[in-house]
Amino acid sequence: MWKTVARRLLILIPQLLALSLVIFFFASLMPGDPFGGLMFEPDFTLDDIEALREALGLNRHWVVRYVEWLRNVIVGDLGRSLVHARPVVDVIGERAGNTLRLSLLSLVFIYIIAIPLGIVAGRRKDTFVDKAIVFYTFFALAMPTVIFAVINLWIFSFRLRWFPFIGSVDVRYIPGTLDFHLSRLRHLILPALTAALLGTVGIINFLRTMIIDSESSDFVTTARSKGVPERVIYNKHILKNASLPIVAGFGPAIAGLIGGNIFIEMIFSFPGMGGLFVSSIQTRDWPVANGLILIFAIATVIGILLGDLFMMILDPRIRIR
Amino acid sequence: MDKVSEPMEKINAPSPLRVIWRELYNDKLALFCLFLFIVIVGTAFIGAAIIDAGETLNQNLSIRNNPPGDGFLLGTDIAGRPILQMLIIGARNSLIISILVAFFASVIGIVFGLVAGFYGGKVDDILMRILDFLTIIPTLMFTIVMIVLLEGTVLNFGLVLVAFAWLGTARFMRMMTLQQGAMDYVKASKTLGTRNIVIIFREVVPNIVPAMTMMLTLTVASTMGIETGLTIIGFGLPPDTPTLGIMISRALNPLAMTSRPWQWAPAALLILAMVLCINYVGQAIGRASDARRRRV
Repeated sequence: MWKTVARRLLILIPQLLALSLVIFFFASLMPGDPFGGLMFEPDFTLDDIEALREALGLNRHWVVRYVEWLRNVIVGDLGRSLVHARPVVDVIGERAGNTLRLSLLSLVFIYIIAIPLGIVAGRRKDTFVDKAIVFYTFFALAMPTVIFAVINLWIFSFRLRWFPFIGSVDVRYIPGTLDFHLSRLRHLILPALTAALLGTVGIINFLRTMIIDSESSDFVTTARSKGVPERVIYNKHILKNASLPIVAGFGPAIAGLIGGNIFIEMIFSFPGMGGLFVSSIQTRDWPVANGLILIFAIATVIGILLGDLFMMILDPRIRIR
Repeated sequence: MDKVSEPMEKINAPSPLRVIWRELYNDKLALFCLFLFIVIVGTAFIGAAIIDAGETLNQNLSIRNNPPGDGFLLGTDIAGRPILQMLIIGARNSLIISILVAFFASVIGIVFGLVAGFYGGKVDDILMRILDFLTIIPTLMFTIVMIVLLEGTVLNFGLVLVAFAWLGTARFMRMMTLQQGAMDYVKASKTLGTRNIVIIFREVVPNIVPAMTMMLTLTVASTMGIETGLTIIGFGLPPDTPTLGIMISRALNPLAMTSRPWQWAPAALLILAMVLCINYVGQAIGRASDARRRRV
């Protein structure tokens, strides 16, 4: 098993290398840098700007800059932000907490919503409840994230005034107090719920199909003929089988949430990594944008790998391969 | 003896399009969605041809923020542009872009999937590694980077969307082709010495037409969603190409959202109606692609 993991991690290295090379190449094609606008500032002359570019090494060929960037990345240094004049790691780190909290809460909501619905739909196949749940999964799959977010923003923030529509915490509270954490949670709920309601489809469909298929499988027939109570058949036999892939879905799900929250963070004006990415692109702050893309790519691959690893640990049949 | 030598009566399998139509015809909701979608498309294209786009897009500050009724059926936006006409032109633009992007993405994805799935072996290995590499790319971020990079035209915007929209189709078509390739009819053809290209296009493709159609429709819907999303967060089409997303993004501030819902709600609902209809029809077509899931 560890051989597989090692091999997967080894494949990861050329993949990330190629990816960062592509990013750097694109960034080098981009016209402009954050300093172009400085020429209108009274304190800057054109020579000052040129000196700034020279000092930051922006005038060198992109390959040279790439090699240097790479050398730094290996020791965990993503460079300095051109706009914030601080290390990229710090700039991203400030936002990472928010995005991580948002993703985790979304994930919790996904499991809370999806597991009961999936079980009910499977057990009450073809009833009204089942049809309603299947219809919901259709909506969740088809709904464009932005539109759903805008509609939720309007209903729950502006009409009902239940949730705040901007930021990640109320500015009036002092960090560390209970009020501060409650306010933070309140800011998280609506964006997290929006992401979660659209993210349940996979688990619901999986559970439903699993239960329906199990109904006609031998182990359930055997259990029934032995007189095992229906409740025990579901809890001990069917759901135990289904629980593995659901747990293993955790990895890819969290990776997808971290990477896929740009739209949600933008609509809810939530200060996370997605919003940071958008603003860094708008201000041509390439070190930050590069760093974020790299982090998201790593998160995606590690998420998928973790999921597979879970399956290998839990399911002996996969381990043998 | 006579009886045996007589050719067996050939039972014609229903054509793929017939199978799709039968499935749609028996699902009244899907039929309704198809009808609604056709009505929207018709209105958008015919309406946009009649409307004077220049006049519609002209800013007229004396009539800004008019509520619905009173000369303007659906009111006016922040710069005095009539909402109804904007909706029609915007819907047409959104539709053209989504359909074209989905078409080209599907062609790439289908060819890629067919080649990888049918030839297998080395070819498949190489193609799948390419696909794996593209899959770990944070797609949305890369799309944004490339849009900023290729700033400007509608064509560039479309090309960037195509660049990532074909991945899902390629994976799905490869899986479908693998399934078909393992079937006896393909093996029989191979044994008879039929050329691969003939097997692919004359024998495999007709069997997966419903699946292809489904992927095409679903790609249209998802492209529409992504186009709207990108436009709303500020990386969309150039502002002189009005789409439904631009209408929403202009009204995406607390004041406009609460006090002037007519400026964004119709656009949001129109996108929603189109996306849901396309998806529902697409899923019905998807059922037609799998004999076990067909309802008729």
